[in-house]
Amino acid sequence: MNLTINWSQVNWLALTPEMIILGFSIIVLLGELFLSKTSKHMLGAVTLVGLVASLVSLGYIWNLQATEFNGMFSVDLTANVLKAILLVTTALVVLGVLKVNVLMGEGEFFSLLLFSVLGTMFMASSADLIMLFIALELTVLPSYILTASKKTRQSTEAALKYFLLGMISSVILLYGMTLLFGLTGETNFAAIAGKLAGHPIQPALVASMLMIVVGLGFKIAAVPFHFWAPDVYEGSPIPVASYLAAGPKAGGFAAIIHLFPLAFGVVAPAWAGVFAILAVASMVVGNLVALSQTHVRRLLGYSAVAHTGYLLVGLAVATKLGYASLIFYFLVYSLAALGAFLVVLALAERGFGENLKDFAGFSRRAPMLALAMAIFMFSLVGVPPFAGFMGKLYLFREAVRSDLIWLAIVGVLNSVISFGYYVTVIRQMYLVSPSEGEAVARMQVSKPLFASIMIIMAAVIVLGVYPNAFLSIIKL
Amino acid sequence: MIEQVIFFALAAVAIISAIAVVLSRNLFHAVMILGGFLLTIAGFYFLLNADFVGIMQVFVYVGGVIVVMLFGIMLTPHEANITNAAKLQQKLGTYIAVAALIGLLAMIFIRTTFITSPAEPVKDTVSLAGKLFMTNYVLPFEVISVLLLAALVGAIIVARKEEH
Repeated sequence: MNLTINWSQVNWLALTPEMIILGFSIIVLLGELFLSKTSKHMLGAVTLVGLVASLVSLGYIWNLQATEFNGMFSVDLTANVLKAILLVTTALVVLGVLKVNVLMGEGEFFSLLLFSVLGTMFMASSADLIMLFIALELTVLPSYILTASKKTRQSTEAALKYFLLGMISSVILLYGMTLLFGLTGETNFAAIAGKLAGHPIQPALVASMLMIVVGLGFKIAAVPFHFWAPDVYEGSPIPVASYLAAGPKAGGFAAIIHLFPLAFGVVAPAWAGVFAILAVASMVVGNLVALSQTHVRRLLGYSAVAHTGYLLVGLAVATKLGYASLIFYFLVYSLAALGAFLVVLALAERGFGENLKDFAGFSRRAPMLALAMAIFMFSLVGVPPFAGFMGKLYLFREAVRSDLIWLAIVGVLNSVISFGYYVTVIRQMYLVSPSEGEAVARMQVSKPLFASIMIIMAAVIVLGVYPNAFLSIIKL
Repeated sequence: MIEQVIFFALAAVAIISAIAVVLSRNLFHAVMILGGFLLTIAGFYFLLNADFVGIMQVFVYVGGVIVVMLFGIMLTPHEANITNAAKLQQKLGTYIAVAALIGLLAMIFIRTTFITSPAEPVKDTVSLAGKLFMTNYVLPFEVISVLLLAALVGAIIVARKEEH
């Protein structure tokens, strides 16, 4: 057994984005301890600087391919793209909440956010089961805490559900990993694939694979493992919910994209079929239940479940182009969902409720925000020329190419169903006037929040009209 | 031979105590039996020559987790005996599901050949584990420290009273 590590041989450059995030999370945490109450609002800006610095360093190592620490940590383009998406979306959340009361100490909020981001980045780069599991826990543990931070009955209930289901899923995942170790004696993805190649498929391998699917299925909120998602999106503080819509989910997909094609390559038809079933179940259940929701964040929660279904189409296809389409659609989806959550935040900041009827007359209160919300909704449905359309086009095109035409048809039908509830939001904003006697005054929005929503809106339009801007970066 | 006898004895105790934990109607009793269950798990580790992991299992789980759970029970108001509100249908469903899962897993395991490590048993597992932590597994080891920091911050946030 190799029991040495040559520190001078470690390519530290590969780890700089993670190191920067770690450093800033500690700085922010210390800031909470030592700064006076009046200067703590700076911590949000410090966090933003950290995220941008990490993004810049990621750009510096964009084409680097390296495997460090005896195969624990690997950097490649897929991992870098996922990290970049994560950093950009998190930076937009932080920008949005700069002037917003986060309901807990700023230092605690932002440092936990950065810890979770760090875990997700390690997840995108892990090439070993042990590393993957620890990174996963680092991603979700801060999410549980952030969900519980409001200390209302609803927030606590959501956090407890999230925590319990998350723990159970982690245990099932661990069980699957143990079986895999028992079969191969390896924890490294590539080594596992090497041991599995050329042997007949054992039933225990299928059992292990299914357990890992269940464990990671919880993290990405695929039906039937989605029960926590609507409660968490509805019950957690809105800044937290907007992070959860993108961050931890990116980690789950990063883990699946790395683990399954690499380690489970020999049983690819089996897991592709499982993901196809999960995709259909998530799309159908998510969309149908969302139709009857009146609470906007709960609606977005079920919409997130449905979108997990669309994203899983990319895994059911099980080709390189399928994964690339998945990553593109993930960016598109997380931008639109994040934008929608930030709009809800803008409303809640001015004391409005979060039910559909509270959106009545929104187009007159805040024309730009209403326009942005409408664009996010259209993008989530998949209406051209917005980004959601291109994303779905790529995903379903890959499904058709791989002879999964039925899956593409289910996807398109579901998009049509989803029109039913997204359009309700738009109808409320533009066509329904607020109840009588209520003055329709212009709504004030904090500048960073407004800026963040506008950036997301611009991105959704640009990615829809000119997707090559992104596709050329990920070299599709 | 003697190893197999110890293994099956431990396994029997583990399974019986695990079932007792689930079926116990008294929370305090359940936690005490859970402590016994965790001790048998430590026994498995000793049987596998993993003495360091075994001792850590006793320290962390029996010495730490169980004590914290007992504190949790003593410091919170609760009913001593929980009456099971589950209906017969639910119970029956649970039993059938659990039995089916156990049967399925047993069938799978019987047909599986797990590989055994060709390495010689190690005398000094503590120093080997230490070396592994500082070489092959140094990155996960360091990431765990960040995880612990996040957990500490989280414990403070969850335990703190609302300020206003």
